[in-house]
Amino acid sequence: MKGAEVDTSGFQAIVLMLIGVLMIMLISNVLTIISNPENIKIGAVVTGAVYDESDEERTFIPPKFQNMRQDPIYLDVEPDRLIIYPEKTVITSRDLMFEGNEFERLLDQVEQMKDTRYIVLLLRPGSAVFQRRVRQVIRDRGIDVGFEPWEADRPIISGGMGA
Amino acid sequence: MAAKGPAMDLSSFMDIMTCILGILILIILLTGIDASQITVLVATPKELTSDDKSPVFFECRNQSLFHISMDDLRQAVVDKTEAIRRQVDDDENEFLKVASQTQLIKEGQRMDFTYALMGRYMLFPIDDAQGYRFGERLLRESDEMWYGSRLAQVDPETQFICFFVRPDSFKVFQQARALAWMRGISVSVELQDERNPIVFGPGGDRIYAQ
Repeated sequence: MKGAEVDTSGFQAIVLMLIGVLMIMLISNVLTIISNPENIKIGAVVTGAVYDESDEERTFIPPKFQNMRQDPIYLDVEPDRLIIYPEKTVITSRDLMFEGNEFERLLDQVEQMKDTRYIVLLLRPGSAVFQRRVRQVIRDRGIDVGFEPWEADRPIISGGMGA
Repeated sequence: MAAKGPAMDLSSFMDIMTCILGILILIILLTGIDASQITVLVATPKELTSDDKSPVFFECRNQSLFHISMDDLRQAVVDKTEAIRRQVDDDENEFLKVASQTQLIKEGQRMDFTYALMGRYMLFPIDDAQGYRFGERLLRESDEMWYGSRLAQVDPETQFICFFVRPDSFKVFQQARALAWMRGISVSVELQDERNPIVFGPGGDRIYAQ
């Protein structure tokens, strides 16, 4: 007995379109995965080349720094003190003269895992002399270091939600 | 009237298509779960100590930019040395006396001539000197303009830009750095105090791009 003839050409067109859409979704997923295949997480405080919001509205230029592997520890460097983020531990320049101070303890910890961690100094106005001293201490330990000038009143928000 | 072709049975083709559809949905589900957990990386500043690029210097001061060309500084010292030698008729004592009282003015900088003769270029900022300002034309900076023309001469493969930044000029630094980044040029930064001299020469720290 012969069944009813069904015209499947409309269905074919829908299936082809669906396959096309799914292929685009697949490519998008694959591109996302290959952009960071090891799913490294690093905390960035500088997320745009120009910090001013009005400038960012006109044009957003992402920062072109070189590090995309090591997770930074941020130190807020003021003219006479350091603040370790995110704990907000304050270390005065006087404290650095004593052995076993908080800064040395931090360096001891970072030194143990310097392949995956390093230090970024956020340089406040007036800290030029103090930061050179701090930088030298960090370099002497063989720990990688980076710098970024940071306005006096600009808050530090880590985790990719910063300036 | 057009002749009708032989009827084709597309049911097998449809089966294959439906199978592909199902497989695709499965793959998208799996990759979608992975992709949703991926963090978008934002690069962070770090000195590239293994990099052997040479620096090109700019100073950010008075919310403006000054170019510090080492070649120009060296040439200015050579020219001044010759001029003083002619002036004192190659008298060594007179030369030293005149040299000790000589200062060179170059691109908003005052340079100590005696130190320069010893290979140390000590640049003091001139207070009222005005450098280059971007204003509203930041993104219109072309190769014919002051900063654009200097950027055009930088080879991103062998050179990077080092900015000496004074406390009053963080903004102009960010703008100048953004333009350098847009041209693929690496950048480094050296924070300065308001008035301290910038010194080039033996005994200083090496500067790395970051």
